Amino acid sequence: MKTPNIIGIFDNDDQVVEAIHTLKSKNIKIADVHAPFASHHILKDLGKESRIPYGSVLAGAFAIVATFSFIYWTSVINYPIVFGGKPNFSFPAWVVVIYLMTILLTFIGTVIIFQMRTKMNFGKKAELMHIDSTEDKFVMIIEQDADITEKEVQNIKKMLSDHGAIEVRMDN
Amino acid sequence: MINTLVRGTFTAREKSFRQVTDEIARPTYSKTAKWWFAGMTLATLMLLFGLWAIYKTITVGLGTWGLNNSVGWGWDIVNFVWWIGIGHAGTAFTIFLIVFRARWAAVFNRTAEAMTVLAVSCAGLFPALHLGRIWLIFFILPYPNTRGPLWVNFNSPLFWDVLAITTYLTLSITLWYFGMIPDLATLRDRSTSKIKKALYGFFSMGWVGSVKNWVRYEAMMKVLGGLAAPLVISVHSIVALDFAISVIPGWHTTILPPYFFIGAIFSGFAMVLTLTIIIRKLYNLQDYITIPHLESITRVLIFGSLVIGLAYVTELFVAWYSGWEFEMFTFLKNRATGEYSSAFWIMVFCNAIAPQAFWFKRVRTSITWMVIISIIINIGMWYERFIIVISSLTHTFLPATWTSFTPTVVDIGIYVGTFGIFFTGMLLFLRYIPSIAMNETKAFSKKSDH
Repeated sequence: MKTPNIIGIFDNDDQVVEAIHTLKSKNIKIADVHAPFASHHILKDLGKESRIPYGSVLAGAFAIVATFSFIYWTSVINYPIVFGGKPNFSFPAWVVVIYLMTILLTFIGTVIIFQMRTKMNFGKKAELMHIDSTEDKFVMIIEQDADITEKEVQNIKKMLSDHGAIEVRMDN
Repeated sequence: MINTLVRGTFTAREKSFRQVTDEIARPTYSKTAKWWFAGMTLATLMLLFGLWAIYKTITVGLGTWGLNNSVGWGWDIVNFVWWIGIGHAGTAFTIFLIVFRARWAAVFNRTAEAMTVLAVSCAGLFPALHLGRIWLIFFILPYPNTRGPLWVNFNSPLFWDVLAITTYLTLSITLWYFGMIPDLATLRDRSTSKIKKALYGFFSMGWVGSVKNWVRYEAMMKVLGGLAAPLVISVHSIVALDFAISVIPGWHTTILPPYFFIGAIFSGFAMVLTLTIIIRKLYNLQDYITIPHLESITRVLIFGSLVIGLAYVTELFVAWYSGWEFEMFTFLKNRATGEYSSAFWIMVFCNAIAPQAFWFKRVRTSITWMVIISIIINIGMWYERFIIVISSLTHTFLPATWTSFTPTVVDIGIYVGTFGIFFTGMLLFLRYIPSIAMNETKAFSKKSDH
């Protein structure tokens, strides 16, 4: 059976940041924080840098190669037509299409990677810890290790309350 | 509260997070206002006029338009370029906000993006209808076909334009939509109506605002904003290339891409100014969209106006300096002193002269003057497109082909119809989606995050 998480509800992100610092100094692992907006202090303290931009670079590289190859194949190999005496391989004129397709495919690729990583999709049910966490409340989630003692749990709860948590509870 | 040395105070009063949601999202949960129904009725009538005009165009043909042998691009391309220009502001605000973290852009971003999506959709309608046989529009796509396969001409600016507009529309819709997700989740969680809860829930994609999601979300939005920056420059430049790559006097000029781009930003910002002043009044958002916010737009307009003015003078100078008689005729005779001189000087007054009034603080901070001048700019920018398209095509190289252009009721109907699309869309947006990004407002109202 999964051990219940310790949940602390805060009114203010400044209190959350202070609580994170204290808990981190005591080597207590914070599983997640749900926040109504991107508080950069919380993200800096808890968040790992996202690797989505690397995925975007790969999508961009793919777009450049794929678009160039496609135009080359259609205009030079498959059905070459002379437009106004210009050579079939008119690379400078292709730059605009390659440029636009790179933007479009990188864009689409980035969105797909984001959705795959976050597992977000249309109609997905939100697993909220607190009904106001998307409006004005901050939810701190601390996962318990299997060997955690009751005293340690009480200590963590006290720490959260001391830092201004308006509600501390156990939850799955 | 945000205080900056240059721009002043941005938020009128300290607000709690709940107050921000209550005040900004009020239209989504309160009773629909009477003015909204009045506006919707007017917009629907405009839309119906447009639908009739589109019906005539499709069933009878392009003969219902004012086009003739010399003026192959008429009212439709004027309006296409004008709408595309209007659309640019939304993307510009997104770039200011996401890439440069310009706090003043946060209150405009959402509405401006909605404006972009609608304006680009309106713009796209014109070249599509101009094809004549709109049901064959898929011919423009490079797909394996039974005609050879005859692939599209990748060297043609007309194809670049199709790709640019499609890319731009895709990007604008996505940026607008993903920018709304955290706010849709807020609306989902505070809605009491089952239908609203289900709809906001469906579109908020299960968003809970966890740190992992925020980190990924911010990273994605930065990439998307970064991609939008080169695109916003290239879209109107490519529209300009439709003209510049031709040999028509008045079009065949290298200044056109930057001139079109700055014109687009200029007209778009003017439209944002007009709309946000109306929205702020109707929804009592004066505490969020403050005078310093609006003043920031007027500063951009002064800059845009100076560049546009410089472009007008440069065009005239280059026409004279080139020594080419056709260019000289087009710019110095036909446009500045000839048949189109009244339209030309309206354009110069509206775009290069009138916005200079914003140098005065009293004008820059007066709501009435801001509305008047922003509307003047949009009229001026329409005239600019009219001058470029019509004056050049009616008087080309061969005097025997010289003609004039008069729009028909069908031409006017389609233009009015696009206003119908625009206003219907805007009214629906204002009714069901918060016009200001609530999560950004909350983040920027925190002192600790500055």
